[in-house]
Amino acid sequence: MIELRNLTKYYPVKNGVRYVLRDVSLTIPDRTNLAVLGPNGSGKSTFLRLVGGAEPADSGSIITDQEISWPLGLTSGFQGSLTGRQNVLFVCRINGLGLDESRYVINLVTTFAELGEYFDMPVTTYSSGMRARLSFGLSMAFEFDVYLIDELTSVGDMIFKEKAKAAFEKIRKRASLIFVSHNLKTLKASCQSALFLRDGMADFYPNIDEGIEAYTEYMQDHRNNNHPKRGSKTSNEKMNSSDNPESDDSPEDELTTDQDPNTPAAKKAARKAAKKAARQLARQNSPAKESRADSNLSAEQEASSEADKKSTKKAARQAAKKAARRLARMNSSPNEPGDEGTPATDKKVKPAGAKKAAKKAARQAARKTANKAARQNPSENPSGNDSASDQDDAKKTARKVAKKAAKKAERQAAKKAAKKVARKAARQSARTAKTNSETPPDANLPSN
Amino acid sequence: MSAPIPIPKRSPWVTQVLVIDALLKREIVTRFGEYRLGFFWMLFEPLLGVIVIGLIIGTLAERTVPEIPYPFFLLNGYLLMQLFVGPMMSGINSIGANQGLLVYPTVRPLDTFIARFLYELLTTLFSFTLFCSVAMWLGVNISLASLHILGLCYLITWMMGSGLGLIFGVASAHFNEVEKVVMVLKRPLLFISAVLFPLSAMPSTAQDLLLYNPLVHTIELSRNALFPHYHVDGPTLFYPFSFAIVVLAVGLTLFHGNRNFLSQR
Repeated sequence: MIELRNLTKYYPVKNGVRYVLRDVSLTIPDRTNLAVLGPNGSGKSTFLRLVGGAEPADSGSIITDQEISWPLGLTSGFQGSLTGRQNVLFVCRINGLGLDESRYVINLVTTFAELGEYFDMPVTTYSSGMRARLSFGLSMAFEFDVYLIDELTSVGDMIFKEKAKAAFEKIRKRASLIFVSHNLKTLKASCQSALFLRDGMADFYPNIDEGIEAYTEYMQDHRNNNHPKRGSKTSNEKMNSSDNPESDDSPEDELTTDQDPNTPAAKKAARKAAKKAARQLARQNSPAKESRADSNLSAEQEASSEADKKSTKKAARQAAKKAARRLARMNSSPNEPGDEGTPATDKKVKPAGAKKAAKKAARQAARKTANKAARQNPSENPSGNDSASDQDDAKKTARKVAKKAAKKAERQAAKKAAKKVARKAARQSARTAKTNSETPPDANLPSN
Repeated sequence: MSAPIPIPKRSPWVTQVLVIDALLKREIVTRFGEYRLGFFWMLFEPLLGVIVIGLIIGTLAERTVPEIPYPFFLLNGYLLMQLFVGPMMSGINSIGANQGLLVYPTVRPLDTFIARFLYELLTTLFSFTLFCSVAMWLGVNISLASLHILGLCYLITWMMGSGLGLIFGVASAHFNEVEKVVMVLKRPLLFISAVLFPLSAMPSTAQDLLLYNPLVHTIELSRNALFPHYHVDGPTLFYPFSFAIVVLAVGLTLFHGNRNFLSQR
């Protein structure tokens, strides 16, 4: 049992302090592998360091009757200029092991880490995987009740991961883990409970699924609110959205305006601008379509966020289905309640072209994801990497069809505007190309 | 994988000793492990400085201390200065150099300081012993009658250096510039600590000024204790001792006040 009593830890930042833990009181029971979840910078590593006694708390206390390991991390635990062997010897010495015991430990570490001649090389020359092996092997050579592991297994190769897994299995009988990782799959596989850290708060979940759910929800909220804290996630999102040529057309426009107006690229840019204008018009004209566009957006976001976290295929399918269902409901319920379940009848009703298309999109997306999930890699591990591609497909289909629908619905209204904008865009790109071609001689003049 | 080893439970004092011992060995390994003749360098590092200085101004300075062979006169002072400067400088990046090892809960930042200071003391004492043996073997008139005074001189010098090392160590954790400043400040130390010349060879006004430097006191007194005919007037043990106590107290207080900050990364 590890009990945190009114634990407070903060770090000084530029203006004031930043709380990692703020008056946190909770109890971590025995015999449970604890996954520590939280966004970047939420203090997962600090929490491990506090529990491991490597860093003092600012106030409050940690009460435990268990032997807790030092926090095993990639960047800590070793003196870079010492060799692996000397580092292991150091740990033996500070724990007062005799010569025979030290030899025994070295033997254990060498068999586990398999560093070969690198064991007698300075640790600075190690790769991160080698460091992880050494760190892991070293702490596994000692008997603890709780092992603190900080993102160690993520850098290892297959052999190391297998070994680590075997070691986890082995210690499960006598010890538990406190595990920091961003790989939810690994966490789920080896942990039973979860601790979710954010904004100075910490919540203990006896069931890891609840913890992961809370964490995912939190991350999603912050993604949608464009929260400034999550640095790496933002870049992920950007990468995802840049797959879609529609969502960030402005930088592409800028790129293409440099070219001749007659080139296909410029034409494409013009077309894109037209499309954009059409969509905007459509959204303005009918609130129903606005909500559809929104739902489409949220479906995309949901799908992409799920893909980010590399969750299971099932989750992906569910998300896609949900999004599709929502899409369908949004469009059909005001006019034809209960219609969504009967695709055959829907040709007889005469809704606007947009509505029909949207419904079709929803159904198609749902069906396609389901089919794909079943079809793809039937022999392989069902929880493999294909979930991302599934979601991508679902996303793409949904997007495509929705786009088509929007176009179809408001073609009449948009035609004029589209033409206008296209012309404008073409003109503009022509102008830019002209100025671009003129600029070099201008720039060269003074030097000549 | 065979059965893991349980970590034996020990009293805090034993743990402290174990940790400092391990850090000391780590210090020795890293300082000299990279050289082929590590042990040789440990002894001859101070000697090298003395040889260079001795060659440059030895002939000039020799006349001021006709009763003592100048190399030994110089070496004693140089060793004491090393014992002062060594801990002072090694305290500065003590925490940074051991950052990786501070994850082990029994290894605390103060241990890294203590280990480094002890390392300086041990190497200097080792050099000193060697220096005395060589001098005696060569027939230099060295008296070990007042060995206690000699020991006190070395100890107090080391305490002064350690106190300053603590202060600068804490300061450098806050401000990176400290190392640069201290490097500049220690440069004239060779000349204002009466290492090259006996204090009595200075003009009396200079003597009064130099006596504000606590290092002058211990160096002069150690010469008096070591060489029977060396004349000393003015230096006392009380002044450097008070200085050592004050800087140690200030250093430890600063350290205690910043202990949370220092163990953060």
